[in-house]
Amino acid sequence: MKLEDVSLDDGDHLYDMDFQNMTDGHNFFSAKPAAGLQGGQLNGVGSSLSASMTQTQPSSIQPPNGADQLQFQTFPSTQNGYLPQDDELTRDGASERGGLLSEMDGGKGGSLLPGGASSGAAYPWQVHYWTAYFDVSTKDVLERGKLVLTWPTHQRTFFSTLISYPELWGPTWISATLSLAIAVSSNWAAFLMFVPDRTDIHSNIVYWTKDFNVLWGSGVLIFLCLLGHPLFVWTLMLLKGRRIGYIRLVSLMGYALLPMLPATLFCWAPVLLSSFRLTSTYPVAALQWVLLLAGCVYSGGFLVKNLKADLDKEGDNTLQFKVLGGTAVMYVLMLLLLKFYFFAL
Amino acid sequence: MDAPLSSERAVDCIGTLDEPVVDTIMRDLRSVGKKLYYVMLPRSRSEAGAGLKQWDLWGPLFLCLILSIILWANAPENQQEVVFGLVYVIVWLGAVVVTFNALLLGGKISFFQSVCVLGYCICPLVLAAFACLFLPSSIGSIVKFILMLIALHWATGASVGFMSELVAEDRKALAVYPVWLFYVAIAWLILLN
Repeated sequence: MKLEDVSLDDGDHLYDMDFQNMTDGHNFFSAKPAAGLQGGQLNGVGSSLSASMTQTQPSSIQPPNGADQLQFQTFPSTQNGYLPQDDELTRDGASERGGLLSEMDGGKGGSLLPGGASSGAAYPWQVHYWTAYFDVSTKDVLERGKLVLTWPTHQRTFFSTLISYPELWGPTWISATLSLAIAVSSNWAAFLMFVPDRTDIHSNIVYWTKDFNVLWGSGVLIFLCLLGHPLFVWTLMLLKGRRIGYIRLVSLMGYALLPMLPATLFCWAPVLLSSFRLTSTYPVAALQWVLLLAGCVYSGGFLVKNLKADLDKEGDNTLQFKVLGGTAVMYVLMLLLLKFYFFAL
Repeated sequence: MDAPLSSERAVDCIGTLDEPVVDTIMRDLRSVGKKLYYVMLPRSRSEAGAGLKQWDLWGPLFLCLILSIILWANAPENQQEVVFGLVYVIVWLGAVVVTFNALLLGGKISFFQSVCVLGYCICPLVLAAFACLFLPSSIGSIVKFILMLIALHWATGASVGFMSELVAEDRKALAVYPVWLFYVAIAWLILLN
């Protein structure tokens, strides 16, 4: 039995949901969807859907301990919990449910609040609109971080780790940490450069003027990347007539910035070579280039890999080229800015 | 919701009109001083900030002002107003963002109480900044760095008890990490002097 297409919220919905792929083989739902389930209003993806189905067909449920039918012990603790066994959840290999193109960006209607609470429509200027995007646990964040940092070694996609809502805790705090890391590392590198130069009494002042502009600059750079690249991809898809979740893309971009963190945090280390007067500046610059390039390539690779799987389905090569081109341009610009403004020697 | 300082006297607000101004001011100052003292004690960690239930924003404002003045005094001429403004922006905006983070993670917290706790816990950093003023720059960096590390640990410890009890067990680290980042940012600002 298939669920009909349901709309996400009361009226102002962006896209229709296709839940067919959710129920087949899904280990959350131990029963077929009941005939009594109302199409048209979805009260939360996880627990309450299963709860209503459990109540209508109790005979086909085998609860693990038999005592309480509503003890969902296989559920993760959050709506956005990490699903390690995502391959079982989809029929055709591609993660339709969590994919970029089948959209669940949520939040417009109050009926999608976690736990199925229907508290009326939520708007972006209300705090509880955003609560759903922060419904994660520490473990999930760490798992996603590991997924990003080891992306060449596995085939899992980022979107398959999101159950219902994209996650925004990771992106905001990775970006904030990255801005601070760039500013700190940049100033530390400049400080190390100036320490040997005791003949120039103006050197400390020059060092000082860099710092606050650097903090603003790195903040602007990182948040432009975080918000601008998803906007770019979203606009391209919109021009093709498909609306996809912007927040979902922001979530992906935020995690893609994670590899830049170690790259920028250690960019001051090569400068130590020059402070010991062991070498000229060229190997120092080369080392910094290598670090930054590695960070950008690793980060961009993760981004492209995750976008590619879904863009392939569009079957449009020019779209892929445009997205790839835009991503490459963004990373090149970021690399140049980082090297020539933040870590200039 | 925990009441701000002024509304606890709502019943006798008519009465405070008759008392000398000095009395009114001293009452508030004493309360601010008591909270500062409470923050500096290790006890606040175990009690999860219970002594800060009566929130007020005067304390954080004073601390912010003192910190801005310390950093302003040490800044080169053309940077002075930038530094002064930046301290305010980072402290208040940072406290607001960290509080929103805790709220969004499902914390049941009064917004202003959280800002109050975060503001008061800057106190160790302000003390360290003050001490750094008197250090000659020759031994300078290492000692300052160690001092700031101690102050950072102290400040984070004081506020973590409060922040971590707000959210569910499985996401405590998600609420505590931004607090740590906030104090690192302030410590970095001070260290750059």
